[in-house]
Amino acid sequence: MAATVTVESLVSPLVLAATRATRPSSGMREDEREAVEACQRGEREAFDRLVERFQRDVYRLCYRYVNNHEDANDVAQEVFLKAYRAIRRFRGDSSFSTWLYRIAVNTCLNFRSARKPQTEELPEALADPRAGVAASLESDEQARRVRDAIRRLPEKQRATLILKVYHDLTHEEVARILGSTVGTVKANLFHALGNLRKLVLEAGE
Amino acid sequence: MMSMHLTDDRLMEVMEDAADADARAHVESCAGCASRVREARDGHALAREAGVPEPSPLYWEAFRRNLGQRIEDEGAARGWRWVLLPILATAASLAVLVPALHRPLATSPSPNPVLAAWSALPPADQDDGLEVLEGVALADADLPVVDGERSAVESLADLSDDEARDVGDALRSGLTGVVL
Repeated sequence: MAATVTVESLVSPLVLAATRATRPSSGMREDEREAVEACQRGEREAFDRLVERFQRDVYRLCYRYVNNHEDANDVAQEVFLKAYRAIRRFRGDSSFSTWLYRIAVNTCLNFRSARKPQTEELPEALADPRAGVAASLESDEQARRVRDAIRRLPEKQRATLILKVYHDLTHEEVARILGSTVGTVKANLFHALGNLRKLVLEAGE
Repeated sequence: MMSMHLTDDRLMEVMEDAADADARAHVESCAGCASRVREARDGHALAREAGVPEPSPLYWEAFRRNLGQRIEDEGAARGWRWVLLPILATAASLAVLVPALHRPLATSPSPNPVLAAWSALPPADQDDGLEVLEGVALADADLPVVDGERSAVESLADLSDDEARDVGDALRSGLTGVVL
């Protein structure tokens, strides 16, 4: 049976290490670089190691988009398949995790666009339904409401929020993944957080 | 002094405690911006509350196994493509080369065609049968042509050299005195 984990446990120590530790200019850790180079030489075991390292991050990112296990599994598999096919073309200009997240976000967006939307997407701006917000609610129902609210955010706001809040990437990394600027990432995140609060309040009424 | 509201990216910096002193001072004195920062903080707190269901530890093994199988299947399919590719390439090359080789090398006819150095027929001045054929042809031209029947010339042309020689000898002996 599936258990719910806290956000703190969602933040991959590997991603944190990759983004915060002293590292080469490309942002790749040495062992990550070695694994990637081994993959490019055709060593399947090296790719398996990368999958094992990033599978949770990719799965959770996908889950944030699709909101159910079956689809998250399918999309996460597709993400790694795409990465495997393309890894020979990966030049190491960014970290492997940034490259992988970019594939993941694009795959999630394609998956969503290929499916009929189950919920209407929120317009870019929302009117504030009421002032104030309830204190922290820790129930599964509240978590579900938050996940549903995240799904209703506009694409860029959703991607920014997921990558920044749940994967603890820097603004610069999120900008690289989304092909955006740091200023736009900050603005999108600010909008996303405000809209998320409003949507959760609406859902709780 | 900043009188207008801060832009969203600067408000985000305030929320993250990464803003400069001017931005912080503005938010402290602007109720509108302060309210928006509070709302964003509330949204952030809500977002942090919501985890995703964690699959069983056994799931990850199955995940990697399924992925590995898909990669292998794809590799096998790609392997077949590598086998088929040279075959298809060879077939394509033959399709181009064969017609090209069968095309005549000289595109314009020679004005003085050169006869083959060797011929099964003897030279015209030594060919006894030729004289006979010419005689028969003259006679044959005067004969009525019956539908479905071959002419004498056509029949003679089909004879072998020996048969033609025999026919020639027989005609000479039988038609002695006849001016052909």
